[in-house]
Amino acid sequence: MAVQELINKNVDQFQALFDLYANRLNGIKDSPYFRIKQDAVRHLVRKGFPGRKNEDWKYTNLTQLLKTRFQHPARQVSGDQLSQPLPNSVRISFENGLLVKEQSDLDKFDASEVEVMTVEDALKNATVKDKVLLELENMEQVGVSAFGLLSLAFAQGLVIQVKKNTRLSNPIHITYASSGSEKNTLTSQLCLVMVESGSKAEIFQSIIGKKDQSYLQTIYNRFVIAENANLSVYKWQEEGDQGNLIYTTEINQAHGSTYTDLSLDLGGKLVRNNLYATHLGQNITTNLYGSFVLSGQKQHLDNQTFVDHAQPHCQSNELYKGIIDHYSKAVFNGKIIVRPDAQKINAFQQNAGLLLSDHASIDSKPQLEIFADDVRCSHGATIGQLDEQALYYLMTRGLERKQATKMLQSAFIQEVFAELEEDNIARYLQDKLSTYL
Amino acid sequence: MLVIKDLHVSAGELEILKGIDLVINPGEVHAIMGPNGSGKSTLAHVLAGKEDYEVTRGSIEFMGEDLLDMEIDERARAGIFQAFQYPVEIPGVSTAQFLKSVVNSIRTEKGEEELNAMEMLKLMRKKVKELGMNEALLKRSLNEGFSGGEKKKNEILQMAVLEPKLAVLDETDSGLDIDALRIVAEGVNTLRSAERSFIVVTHYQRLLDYIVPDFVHVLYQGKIAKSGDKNLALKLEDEGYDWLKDEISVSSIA
Repeated sequence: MAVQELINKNVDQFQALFDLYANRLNGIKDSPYFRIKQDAVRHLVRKGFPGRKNEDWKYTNLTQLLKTRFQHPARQVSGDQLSQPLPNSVRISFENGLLVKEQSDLDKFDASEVEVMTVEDALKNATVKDKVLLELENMEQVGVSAFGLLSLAFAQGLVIQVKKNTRLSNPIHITYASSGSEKNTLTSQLCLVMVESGSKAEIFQSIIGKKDQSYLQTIYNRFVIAENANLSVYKWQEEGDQGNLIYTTEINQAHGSTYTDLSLDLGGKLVRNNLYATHLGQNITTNLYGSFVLSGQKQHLDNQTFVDHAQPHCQSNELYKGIIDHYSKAVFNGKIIVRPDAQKINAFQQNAGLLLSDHASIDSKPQLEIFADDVRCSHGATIGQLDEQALYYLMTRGLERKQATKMLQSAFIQEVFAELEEDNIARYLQDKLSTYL
Repeated sequence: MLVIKDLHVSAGELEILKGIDLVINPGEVHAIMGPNGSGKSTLAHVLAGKEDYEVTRGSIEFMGEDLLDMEIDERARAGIFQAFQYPVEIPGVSTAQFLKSVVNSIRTEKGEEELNAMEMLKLMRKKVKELGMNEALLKRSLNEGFSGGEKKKNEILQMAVLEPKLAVLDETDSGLDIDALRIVAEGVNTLRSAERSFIVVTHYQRLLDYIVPDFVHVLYQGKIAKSGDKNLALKLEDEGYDWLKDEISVSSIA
């Protein structure tokens, strides 16, 4: 109780941070975005952060993080290359929350296929303005979490709109990098992607943190996928060893659409991923695939998924697998609701952890709430250690223990990537991962 | 090539091998037979380096080196291959990918250049063909969902690709039908050479109709109770192990 009071007293600091931030926002104070930001911070201060009594945060303790006195990062760019570009991609790069034009290929986007702009520019653009405003207002009002509100309040924000019946030939590579030597910095990102009907797009996100310094990054994605559209989002997450990341994705899918999410989490001290998918029509597919390697001394990774099967004739597939070493800990909480009229649903969920140390742990909580009677739903969770028999077998063929261990680890995790056959970006992620085992 | 002297081996409190002496020269095929629990598989595992066993006395020399001083993987790279009685299933690792890794780790050790993917595929296809096996197996996960026969054939394929100096076949015939047995035996016979030696551990004489040994040793209660040529195996087939037990108990009373 006392802790919760402290956290909620500490939440006032965000009003002060916002006032500082607002001073820099000359020229947009008349904009509706500014009004939404003001509302978001007020809303946040009123609402506070979730405590441990909140069932969804049972396994992730925010107390330490929320005692921090945060500051804004310096508004300067390092000039360093922020991430390794994904082959054949078109780049958009943010450093410490700000768009870095030199490392973004904004001029390479064909406006007849896709619009890519900051939220501020989107609100000046006659064709997208109304839609963007509507989505932002929805975000503020629904405000899934306190961290989403932080993003809304502090992020510069990015809008991507894929035009009707367009197949984007190049993936969009978004980099979120943090740099600098200050500690306790707060960086916020917001990304609104609207894929219009019949279109197909791929987005690859690199999240690269600074080393040795503590910070909090909030990333809030809102993906609006229209009828028969297809969006795939890939994530390479390599936050710094003292970095905290709260990553939230809301997915709204219309009739006949497909959403695929493939994440690879490697870094961070505390990382929480929230994925919320809502089905607004029939014949929708949602694929949520996650992999992680926690090789640090004491990392904490919490994957929360929520698929809301509100409509009949839809399917969802979830597979999360990861390797956990030392004193690190992983959490999986997978919630699926099948609402009363949502018949003929296929929902599959599986998660597995490979523990490399006696002190590593995983908490797994599948949560299925099914209110329809003609559905197929399944879930499973397994936790294991490296198979000594298999290690012995590989070593008798001449592989060193290290090599054999790596082979077994990569065999364990490859199943996640195997879900996406013939997918170049999945192969790219898998290859990059193998250098981390 | 291999010199085993006064080898005593325990698993936990239990002493399994109680003084084994065995010399194997290049090109020789030695069959190790004996009733269940006599220590046949233990001997095979001790040669491979399995950590569940403790050598309490004696020595093993391989190519002039102290084998017991070597790690499991070092033994393999030095040229010892064990074909397992129960090969382990490893989901997620394809047989081709696995073979490429092991061949290249051995080549690197020898100071040879690694084979690239094309060269490796060519080598594997050649060996698969020689063994009369189905190429599709290369793409499948190592041993996963393989039948007993397929697993054993896969062991022989690995042996053919790795070209060891000494191959230890641990009850490779168990669980094989007659066709699979013939293929496995032919695989072994094509690999026989003046430089390569084999230890064939088996419970039944059947396998030795196909892989004709130079020497047969009968293991009983942790010791080599009797050695001979292939006729010893035939005698065991006809008369079982009982006469041997009588002979040993008589000699131990004497």
